[in-house]
Amino acid sequence: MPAYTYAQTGDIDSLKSLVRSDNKILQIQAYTELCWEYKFRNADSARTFGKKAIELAEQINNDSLRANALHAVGITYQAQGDYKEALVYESQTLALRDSEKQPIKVADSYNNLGIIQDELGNQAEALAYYDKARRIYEKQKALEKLAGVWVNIGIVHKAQKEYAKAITYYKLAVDLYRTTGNQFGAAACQSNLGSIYLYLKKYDSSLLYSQIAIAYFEEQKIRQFLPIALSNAAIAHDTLKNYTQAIDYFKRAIQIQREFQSNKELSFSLIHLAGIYAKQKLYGDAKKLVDEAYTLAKASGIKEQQMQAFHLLASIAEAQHDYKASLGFIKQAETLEDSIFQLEKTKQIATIETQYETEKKEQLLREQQLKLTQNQYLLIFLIILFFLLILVVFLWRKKITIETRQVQAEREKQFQIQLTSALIQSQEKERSRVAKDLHDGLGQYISSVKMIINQSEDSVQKQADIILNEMHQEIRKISFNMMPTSLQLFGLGKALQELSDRIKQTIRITIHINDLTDAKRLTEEEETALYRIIQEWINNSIKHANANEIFITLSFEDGKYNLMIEDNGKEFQIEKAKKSNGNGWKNMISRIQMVQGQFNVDSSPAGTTFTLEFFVKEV
Amino acid sequence: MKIALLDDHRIVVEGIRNLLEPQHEVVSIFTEANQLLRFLHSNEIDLLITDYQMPDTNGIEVCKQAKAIQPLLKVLLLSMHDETPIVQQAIQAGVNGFLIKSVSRQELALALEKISKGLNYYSAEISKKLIQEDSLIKLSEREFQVLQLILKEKSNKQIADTLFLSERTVETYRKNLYKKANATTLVGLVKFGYEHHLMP
Repeated sequence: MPAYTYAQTGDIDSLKSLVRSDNKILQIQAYTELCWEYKFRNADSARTFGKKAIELAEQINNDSLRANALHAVGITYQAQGDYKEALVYESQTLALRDSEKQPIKVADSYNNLGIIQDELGNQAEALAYYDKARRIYEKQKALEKLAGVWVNIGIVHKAQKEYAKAITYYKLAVDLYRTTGNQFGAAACQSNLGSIYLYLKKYDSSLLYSQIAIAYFEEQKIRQFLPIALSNAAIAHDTLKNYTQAIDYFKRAIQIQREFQSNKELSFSLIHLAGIYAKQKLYGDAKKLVDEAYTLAKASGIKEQQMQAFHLLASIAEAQHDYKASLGFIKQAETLEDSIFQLEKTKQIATIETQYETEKKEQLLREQQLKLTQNQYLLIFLIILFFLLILVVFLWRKKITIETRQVQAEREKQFQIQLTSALIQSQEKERSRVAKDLHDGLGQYISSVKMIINQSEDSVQKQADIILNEMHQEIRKISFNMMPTSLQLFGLGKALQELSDRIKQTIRITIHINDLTDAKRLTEEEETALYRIIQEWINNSIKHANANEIFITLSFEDGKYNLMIEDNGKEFQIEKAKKSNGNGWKNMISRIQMVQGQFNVDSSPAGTTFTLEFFVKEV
Repeated sequence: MKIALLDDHRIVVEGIRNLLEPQHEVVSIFTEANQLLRFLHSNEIDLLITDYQMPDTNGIEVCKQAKAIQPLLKVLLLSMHDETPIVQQAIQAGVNGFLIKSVSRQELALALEKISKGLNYYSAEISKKLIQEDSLIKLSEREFQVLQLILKEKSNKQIADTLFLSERTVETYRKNLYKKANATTLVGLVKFGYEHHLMP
């Protein structure tokens, strides 16, 4: 880094002292910087520094430094116009640079190769290199450098007389330079735009851009760039017949051109100014300027300007009625014109050829770009398709999983119901058995003991008789509660009648049994289940709802059995019943599930109506 | 009076015999119904006292079969069961008396006396149950309200909204009412309403 700091201050002495450093890297950097600093002042000595840097970099095998040095040496050749040599060095530079680690430097090489190719007349190659550089700069967001590439591309198009294209690229560059705050870059581009609009005969636009550039260069005192902008503005004014301004601008341009001794441009300006003077009939002034221009043009070997000078001289002579002189000048002009024509023709053919090549290359590039874009779209499409596919598969699998789970849950539920049903059935069978045993076993023994005791009239025996009576009753009661015989013998209606009769004996309540089924018999399981459900509901009505009237209606229609229990008790709290700790509600639900029934509870403070419906299993 | 006893429990049969003798003549005791029936073919008796619940048959069946053999035979059922439907069935089958096995010597004697005079006898506990409530159609308060609304030709939905019931419950009420009225049409239901003074 220090090397660059010194370089930026331009302190060449410091760089020279760094060259004697022990640090090889610093040494190489210093030599490279010296080469860079000297490239325009003294290309030969610059090259000596550069080659030293290359040699040292090779010694320590440092590709990065070697590349920088090779690049700098390449530039020294470029400065001298030796583009073939420059091409060799820049190509080596590019080969050493790693597009992964230093993309900007690689792009710099591409850009420079573009410049070299342009100078060598290979405009198509030049554009290809610029395009490569452009991509990298865009990706790396190196805006300043990108603007440089736009300018370079603009230059190629301008040379090919593709003015519209050139304008587009220059304008891109102007925008970028404005973004990065590089006013000089912007002004230079605007100056160029001023000249291109002249070619397009858009004098107003030309004038506008030239004047912007002039204002900036004057303000910043960048005099060497002023003449071009000034002459462009002058030409525009001339064409627009603003001769006073045209003369003024040319005079300012000529003054600076004289200062910088840029003879080629000077002769150009002089001829033009002379032309304006001639139009104003200031033949004396005009002739003086033309003579000077011709001398300069001849010295620099610019045939076109010489020819123009002769033409101008001819028209001045003609205006002054010196036809002989005029004819002489015309002849001289024609001689020059012929040679220029030949030259021009060859050049034109070459230009057309390169233009064709460029078009072909550009077409190829566009096609590649299009193909690339198409491929990108295809890729994006495929990626989206892929993700969609994954999504579909995922959702599908999820659906299957959910379905499987639902099926499983349903199966488990069914299994639970079957299990509960089996449990309930075995429980009921057990109850039935116990009831029978009580009747037929224990009961019989009590009966017989009673009969034996009954045979005498003893008071002790009488007491025993009373107890035995109670026992007998108790057994019958337990037996009934276990399983009413009438349920199995006569069905639900009769059994319910019996149940209600028994309840009425202990509690003040009215229970109405309405069997509208013609004593329809169901399976033992169904009847027992219904009986228990009703028993449970009556229990609830009495215990929790304090009902004193209950209506039970049984009906049967189209294979559907319907049970309805109404009471006049308090409002039934279904949630409370569900949450109650007792097994009553749970057992009832289990039995409803057993018969695959659907129940409904309508409750109000006036009472509750419970309905249960199910399709009967045919006995 | 010649009496035969049938009960699958020998100890019970013996007990009954002890209660009856010597005032009454017990000609034979049986623990299986088949033996009894075979006996009846060749021996005339006046009274059969039988148990209700037996392993392969019951007292009512035996009663029917015995009376088929000897039409003049009287049958007294002596049962552990006191459920009304059984008693009703027994009466329909033509038994002459129904006693519960906890019967006292006195009641048994009373029963035999009545039966010998050609009367039927049912023990006090059972008689009480036989006095059934009238089987008149009775409507609950809500059933009555539903009926009135049906007669006003209200839809299930309207009735459900009026009475704060679910439509399904109302539908059950409607079906039950038609059944109770033994009606298939609204006209039948109106007729029922008039007959039972239920019209709104």
